[in-house]
Amino acid sequence: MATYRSGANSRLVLVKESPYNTPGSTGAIVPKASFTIPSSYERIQSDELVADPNPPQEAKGLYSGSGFQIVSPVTADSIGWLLYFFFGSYAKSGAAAPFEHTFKVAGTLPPTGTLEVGDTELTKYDQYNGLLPNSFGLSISKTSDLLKATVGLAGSGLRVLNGAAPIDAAPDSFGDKRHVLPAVQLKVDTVLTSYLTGVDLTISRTFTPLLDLDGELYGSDFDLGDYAVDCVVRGWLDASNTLRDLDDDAEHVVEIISPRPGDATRYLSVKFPECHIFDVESYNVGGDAPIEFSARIAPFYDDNADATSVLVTLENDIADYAAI
Amino acid sequence: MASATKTYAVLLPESSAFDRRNLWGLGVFLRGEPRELVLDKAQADALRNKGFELKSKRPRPEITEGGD
Repeated sequence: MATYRSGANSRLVLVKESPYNTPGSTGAIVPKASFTIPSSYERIQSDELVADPNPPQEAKGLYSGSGFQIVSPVTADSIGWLLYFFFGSYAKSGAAAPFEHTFKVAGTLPPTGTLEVGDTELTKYDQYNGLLPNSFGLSISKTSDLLKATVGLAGSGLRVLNGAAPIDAAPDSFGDKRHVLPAVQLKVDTVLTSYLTGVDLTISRTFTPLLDLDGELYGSDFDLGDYAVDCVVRGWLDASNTLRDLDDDAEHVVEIISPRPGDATRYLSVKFPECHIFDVESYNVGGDAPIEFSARIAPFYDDNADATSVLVTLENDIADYAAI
Repeated sequence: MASATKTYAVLLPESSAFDRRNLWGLGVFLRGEPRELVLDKAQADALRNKGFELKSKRPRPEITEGGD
């Protein structure tokens, strides 16, 4: 009998590789809202117009190595593992939990990872090796949404498909209570100001993934490139011009903070140690809501003590990523 | 598909790098606090891989009321 499935038994596990293309034996669950695996061959087709009405045979081309995307619901507890993969390293302070974990783009190549997509009921597991995350986004629209992270990955490694056993039968899980309509607050120059109704943050890293030929020929490495940050925040337009007045040509320190429900000391912070804030003069009006105002945060690095243009912190994080 | 399971006392040892670990489907383990779990072989192997100590427990004989 055919079984119709909703994805409830699907499982996404991220496993650190060492060396490239060789996953370790222990991984961690990636909380998922959705994910996309671009498992498609390119086809080599002739574009010649020929007199014969029947088309010539196609050749099997390269695997597409880009376009992996994970959309993950974010809590201050679940996001660390993805942040670790994206940034490649972190700084930890505190001898025992809770820790403070800080993440920023370093000049070194992050470890590659294997993404295992499994169906726990069918016990079928597909492995995608040699993945590197090349974009990390955080987004929230407060009126209807969860805080979500969107991670894009580029893969040039092997594929081990249709395995009967998972890499790790008891993967670690950092999942916790989900933020439904999470509080997201803006902190400008160390002062908490307004609650935000929306955030769109994207951090992009540039890699040059090499393509592989069906597991026999594959790229041995990635070129490490630069990174770029873009961020737009949205909030209600108010009488005191809380958001609008931030566009004052001055340099600011801006933090976007989302605390864990029930514990304000545990939070996710995205800090721009040096930035300008621009009024982008774009508004949204929906239903009976007030006008939603947008401001663009333009971060840069000149001389700040954090030595980065974006610093992500998990404050009082009870999870530890060290040995996984 | 049912696989053979066994009962284990599972312990995150004192020497572990972690204070606590939350494992998918198995729940939270705190250092020094053993938990009794029914595991299949793959899960037991995965836990050993992660540095957990596993002691298999004999299933208790069924207690039957006297007088039957």
